[in-house]
Amino acid sequence: MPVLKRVVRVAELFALVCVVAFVVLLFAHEPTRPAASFGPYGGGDPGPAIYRQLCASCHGARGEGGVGPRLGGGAVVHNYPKVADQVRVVTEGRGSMPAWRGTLTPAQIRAVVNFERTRLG
Amino acid sequence: MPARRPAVLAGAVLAGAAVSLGLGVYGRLHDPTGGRLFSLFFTRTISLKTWFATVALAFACFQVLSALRLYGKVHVPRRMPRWLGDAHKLSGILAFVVSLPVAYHCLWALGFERHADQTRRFVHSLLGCFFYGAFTVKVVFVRARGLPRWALPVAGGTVFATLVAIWYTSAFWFFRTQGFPSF
Repeated sequence: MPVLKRVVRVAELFALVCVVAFVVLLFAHEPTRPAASFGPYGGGDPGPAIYRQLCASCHGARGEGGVGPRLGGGAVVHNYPKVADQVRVVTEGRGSMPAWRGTLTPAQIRAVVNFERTRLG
Repeated sequence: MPARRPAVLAGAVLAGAAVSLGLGVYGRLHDPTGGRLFSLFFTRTISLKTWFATVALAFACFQVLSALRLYGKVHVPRRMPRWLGDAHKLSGILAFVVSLPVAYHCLWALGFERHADQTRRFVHSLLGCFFYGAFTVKVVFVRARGLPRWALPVAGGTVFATLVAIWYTSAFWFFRTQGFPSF
């Protein structure tokens, strides 16, 4: 079955290219800092946009959870009765939750926290 | 050739350890981006990861079954197809390739879970790093000559068992908590 042998050869080469790309991208692919794109608070509440861009990939588009814990349906208020505690986690990170200090301004962090507590789910 | 065996075994294990350690150190030191990757036709990156991990597991299951037939441990089908060896190789390569975007997002966006109280994520992080080290060892064993008969089955079994555990702590968890099928 020479065709299959050739396919295996091609697949081996492809895998090698993928490994190289994997390593290169780990070091080269840094996300663009999004803070500027949300604007300086002048254009209304940036909370929903920040949530969509930075939080939804882990916590779900409607806060239903995923890699990160569920936030919607009052879950985040239940887990963090004090706003300051949630702001601290968003700012400084915890576990695999990244620290958003440096990416978001304190005002933007408060906006997204407020969005999660009041309008999510 | 027998004199080379310990050196090859040790070299393979050291190379695997270096890969695992390298990934762990990267995951620990790299500031998780929390970013999204492409999601293809899935609704979310996590759905893509879940299904890619499941596909990798399916290929790995084929690897184990075909290896059992190739080594004569089972006799189904009674007459071994001539293409089985190549199909075995191909399934292993595809399982590995499909796992890479998943691992990439884990390392790049989420990092290494350093808190042991987050048991699932902590175990998943450890296993994820271990997997690529074990895979490296297996690839070296496949290419090496004159190794003990137990070397390749042990390496292959370790890779498979690790992948099952990785899938259990990620994709299975996702299906259980988010619903199945979830695209």
